[in-house]
This record gives sequence, C-alpha cells and structure tokens, in this order.
Amino acid sequence: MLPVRRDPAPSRIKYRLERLWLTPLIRRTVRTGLPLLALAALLGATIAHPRVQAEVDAAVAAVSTALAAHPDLTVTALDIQGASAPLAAEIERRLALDLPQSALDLDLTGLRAAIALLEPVADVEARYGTDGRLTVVVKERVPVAILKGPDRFDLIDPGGVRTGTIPHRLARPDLPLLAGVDAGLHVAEAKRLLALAAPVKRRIRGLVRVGTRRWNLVLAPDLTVLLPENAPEAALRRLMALQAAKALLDRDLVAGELRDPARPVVRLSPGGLAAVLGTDIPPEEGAL
Amino acid sequence: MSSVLFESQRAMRQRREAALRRGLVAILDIGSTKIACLVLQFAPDRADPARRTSLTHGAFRVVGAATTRSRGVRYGEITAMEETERAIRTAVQAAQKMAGLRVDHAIACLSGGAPRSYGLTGSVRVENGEVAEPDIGHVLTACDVPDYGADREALHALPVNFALDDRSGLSDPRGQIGARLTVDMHLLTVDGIPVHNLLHCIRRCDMELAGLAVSSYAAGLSALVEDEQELGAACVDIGGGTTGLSIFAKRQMIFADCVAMGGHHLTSDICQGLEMPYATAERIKTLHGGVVATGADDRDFIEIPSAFEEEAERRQITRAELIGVMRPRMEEILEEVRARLDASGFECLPGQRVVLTGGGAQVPGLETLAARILGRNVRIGKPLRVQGLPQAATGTAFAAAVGLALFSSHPQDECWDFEMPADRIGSRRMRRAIRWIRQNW
Repeated sequence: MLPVRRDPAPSRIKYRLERLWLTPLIRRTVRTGLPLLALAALLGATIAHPRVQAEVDAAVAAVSTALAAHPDLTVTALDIQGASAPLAAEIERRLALDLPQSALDLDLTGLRAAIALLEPVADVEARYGTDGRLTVVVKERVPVAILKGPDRFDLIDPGGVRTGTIPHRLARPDLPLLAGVDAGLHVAEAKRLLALAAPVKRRIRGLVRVGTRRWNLVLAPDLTVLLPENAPEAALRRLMALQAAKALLDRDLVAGELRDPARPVVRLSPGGLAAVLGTDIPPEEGAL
Repeated sequence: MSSVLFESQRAMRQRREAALRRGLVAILDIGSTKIACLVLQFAPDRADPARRTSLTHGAFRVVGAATTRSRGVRYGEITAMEETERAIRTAVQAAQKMAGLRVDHAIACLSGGAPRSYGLTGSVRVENGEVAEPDIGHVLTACDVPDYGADREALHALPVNFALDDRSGLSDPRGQIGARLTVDMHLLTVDGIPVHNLLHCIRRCDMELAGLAVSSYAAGLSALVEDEQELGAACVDIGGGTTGLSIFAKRQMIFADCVAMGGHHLTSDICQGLEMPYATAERIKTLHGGVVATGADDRDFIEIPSAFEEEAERRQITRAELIGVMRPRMEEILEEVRARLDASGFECLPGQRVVLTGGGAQVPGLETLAARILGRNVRIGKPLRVQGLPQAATGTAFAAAVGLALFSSHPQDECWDFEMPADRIGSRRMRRAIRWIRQNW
C-alpha cells in the first residue's frame, strides 16, 4: 500500500476524550466536583495539621484570657445570704473560692450543686451581683424535731431530711424527740400528737415509732402510752380529756394501753398497785 | 410479504424512535465529495403536554453542523474504511463541539449501493367490513416480495397507495367501509455490502446507526416543495460521485435510482482535457465553470497555475474552452438521468417538474441545459429551511443532509406500527411466550 497524504483528523483517542468531555455527568464532575473535592481536601489537611491546631488553641486561649482579665468580669467578694453563721462558714469552706477571680472561670452551676449537697441547705441560688459580688442566697432547712438514732441525735426538718447532728438531746431542748424506725417520715403526725399532748408537755420525753406503724408516747418519769395505729389523735384526745377530768396520768402508772379504742387499759406500777389495793377506791376507777 | 421484511422495517422504525426519544441525533451525509454532520435536538413540545411523548411530530433544531472533505468514499460507497472513519470523526467532533453535546445515535444516508425500486401489490379481504389497523398490517404482510437477491437489503418499504374495492388513491383507508383492501407498495433495495460497511464504520466511531435512508430520497424530501411532492416530480441530486434520482407522487417516493456519474467526472475531464492538476481543475470548475457558452466567454481568459515547476510561462484558457469540456459530460449525465426517468414511467405522472439539487446543480446554466435534455419544467432546488441551520449549509449541496433531518423528524413509515396479523406470527408469538415463561420461572 502506498503511503498517502492524509487530511488532518482527530485521533481515535482524542475523539473519545472529546466525547467523554462532552458527557454531561463527566463534565459536571470535573468542573464542579473536582474543585470542591480539592478545596475540601485542602481544608481538611489544614485543620488536621497539629501545628495549626496548636496555633488555633493558643489564639483561643489568648482571647479568653484577655476577656477574663476584664475588670467588669472580675468577682471580688462572696456574699452569702439567708444562711446562719456556721452554715455560711461551711459554705465558704466548701467553695474555697480564690478571689478575686474572673466570672468566666467560675462554674455557677457547679457552685450551686456543691452548696445544694450540704445537709442544712434546702434551696440555693447563685448569681452575679453588682460591684463584682457573687451572691449566694441560701434557704436553710428549719429543724422541727430531733430524731434519736442508735448513737446520735439528728435534727430533721418537716420532710424528715436531716439538717444536722447535735451531741446530746439537751443541745436543743425546744425540739421534740422522736425515735424508732421510720419516725422521720411521719414528723407531721408526730407534731400533731405532741400538740394534742400539750397539757402534759412538761412530762413528755418523746414519741417512739413502733413497728413502723404506730406511736408510743413516752412520758416522764416512767410512763408509756401506747397509741393505736388508726386515729391516734382521737385516742390521745380522749386520754387528755381523762387527764383533765381525773388527772389519770398523775397516778402511779407504768403504761397506758389505748390501742383498742373500746377498751382502754392502764398498767399500774408495783407501788401504785399496792396503794390501790391498800386503799379504798371507787369501783368504776378499778374497771379502768 | 414475508414477515422478515415486516419485522426488519419495524425494528428500524423502533430504533429510530428510540434514538429520537433521547432527544439528540446526528445526521451523517456520507457523500463522495464531503461528509456533513448535523446535530439535531428534538425538543419536546412543552406547551402541549399531550404531545410531549410523540417526538415524531416535534420540531427539531440544528444545534451543530460541520462539513469535511470526504476521504475513502467513491461512488457513494466506502472504499477505505479507516480513511472514512477519520473523516467521519472529524465531522462529528466538530459538530459536537459546536453543539456542546455528545451524540450517540446517527442517522446516515447512502448515496451509492445501486438502489433498485420495486412496485409491490398486496390484497386482502377486509375482516369486519370496516378497515381497521389489523387489516392494514395484514395487507402489508400480504404483499408478495420479489426475489431481490440474498446480498441486497430492503431499505425502504413504503405503502404508496391504498385501494378499497374499486376506489383507489386512498392514503389512509382506516375506518372506511369496503370488502377488499389493496396496497401498492414501493420497495427499495440496495446492495448489502455498502450498508454493512457504513454500519461498521459508524460503529467504529462509537456511535450507533439509528436509521438509514437513500440519499436521493432524502434530497427529494428537502428539495421538493409540497405541491411537487403531491402532484409528482423528480428530484435529481447531482453529487460528486453519483447522481441520485427519485420520483415523488402523492407525497410518497415511488421510484429511486442512481447514476454512477457526478461532479468528479467533470473535474477529471477538465484535468485531463485541459492538462492541469486535479486540485486546480476542481477550483477552476467551481469558480469559472458553466455549461452554456455565450460570445463573451471566448474573451474571458482563465489563468491556470502551472502543473510543473520548470514550465515558466503561465497558461491561459478561455472560459469557452472550459465550458466545451464540461458540457458534454454534463449532457451525458443528464441523458443518463433522462433514460432512467423514461424507464420509470415518469411521463405518466400529472406533474412533470424536475428539480435539480446537490452540489453539481450549482453549475451556471445547468437549468437551460437540463430543460433541453430532460424536456420538462426544470428548476434548481435548494433545501428547505430548517431551524438553526447555518447559512453555510443552506446550499444545494446540503439537500441530502437537510432531507435526512426531515426524514428523521417526519418519517413516513408509521404503518409499520400496526400489528402483524396473528396467523402469520402465531407460532412466533407462542415461542416468545414459552421463552418468557422459561426465563422467568
């Protein structure tokens, strides 16, 4: 075959490439997808570089330091409101704030949680006040009774929550004494019973929860009144009426049995029994 | 008609429809002188949602056009596969670049391949008194196909005329009452080898051939105006290597033929008769050529660059000499055309218009010469104007390319959509059903 002079024509590979380039999908991929991909790769590589990360961290730290150093954001004093002096001291000791400090470095939520962990604190509110003061408003639990534990005396609030411990009962003579398992859960009922027993207030030593269901009223010198499980107030009211009318409790008794409302029983002490047997007593009193 | 022809026509139509549905198709006019590629974009009609799916009626737009010198094509047939492939690649790439779109389907036309026309007749009894679509399918299948040779391909098979009982000249007999339906069909066959070469060549360019038409048919579609197509006219497509000939009547092609002579023969005559290089001869032919000499032509000197380096003096010829060389060859071509027209029975048609088109029709004075030889009403036909076609591609040389675009957008073979009667394909359908069941269970 003779060599012929050929007209110019695209080679097959060039023709195919041209056709490929004219394919819309390929065209779009190369024109939009690849630049985006390259940009994303560049960005990713920059972010992933440790030196860049360190620099960014340093810059952020610098900015936050500069902000924290601002005088308007500095906390200079801690102001505790609504707490008794020992509690305020305890709070201050707990928080152990290194003042003056920047408000940005303080964790108010953490402070609040730390204070709320304290036993005598019912509710707490912490906020920034004026003149760089951190104000902590504490609502203290008010103890209403003393709960006698196996080896200590706890102060409890109406909800039965422990607010503190006292070394001996006479540390708070104004508060009634409760004892027994679950006694702390029925403070309101105990208070009602004690209020009913006001006429013998001076003799009351305390209330004992028995079998986690009923109360014993313990009176000085050595008298136990066994209250029923149901309607103890009515039984106690009746007993108080007897006391008012006949001074029943002033007699030489060991126990007053009120658990059966239909049949109240008293148990005499040995001395009292002898006195009863030796003297002339009316029959209706003997039946009691 | 054999069901093989029915099936192949139907397959061709479906392939073209599928390509058109993609919305983008390349028109390849592979001629002996130039290879033209048009990229057509078929836009679905957005205004009318009901017709959005039917692209066959949709308007198209030429978005890319390119032409290159043809290589490896002689007499409309591919003789050097690789050269032609390179030329097609050049044209397609340029057109794609202009369009900015990738084209995967090509519709090509074949100018050689010795087309041969056959008139077929088929006749069936109408089933239900009224002609329905199955009847048309039936009558198309009933045509008896002549033995056109195993190595030839049936390219076009178009029903030209339907007759119902003794009423003839129906273009669409559907819904009409009658007893006997007859069809006249025009079957066009071409040599199989050029078709296969073309198919292979386009496949080598990574494209798929979605349709094929004879170039004289395509040229007739674009160069003849509607009245001429209706009343009857002949289109003579004078190309480089071949001169195609098609006769239209009732908007259908009824005859096509091809004369293996064209513009290249004029050039080679000039080259030999006036002793100049081929390229020079081509240039002088296009710039100064003509077929009717006048007195002024004797004094019109044409300077010819020397063919040989040592020959110092410049040679001059008169234009009359040039015309003297060109005219006999052109007369020969036209006489050959005349003979083919006479053989086809063209004189029986009501319209006797002859339309000259193709690159060779640009020769000045051809109209006069053709009128003398063909003896009829002759005009030069430029292709129809289509949307988006560049100015450079509106000349007569692009009649076939534009016609091919029209052919792909307004095909005339809708009738092949009608079902073939079941008695012809019963066994085939059964086999298909069995195969489907076997594949799916």
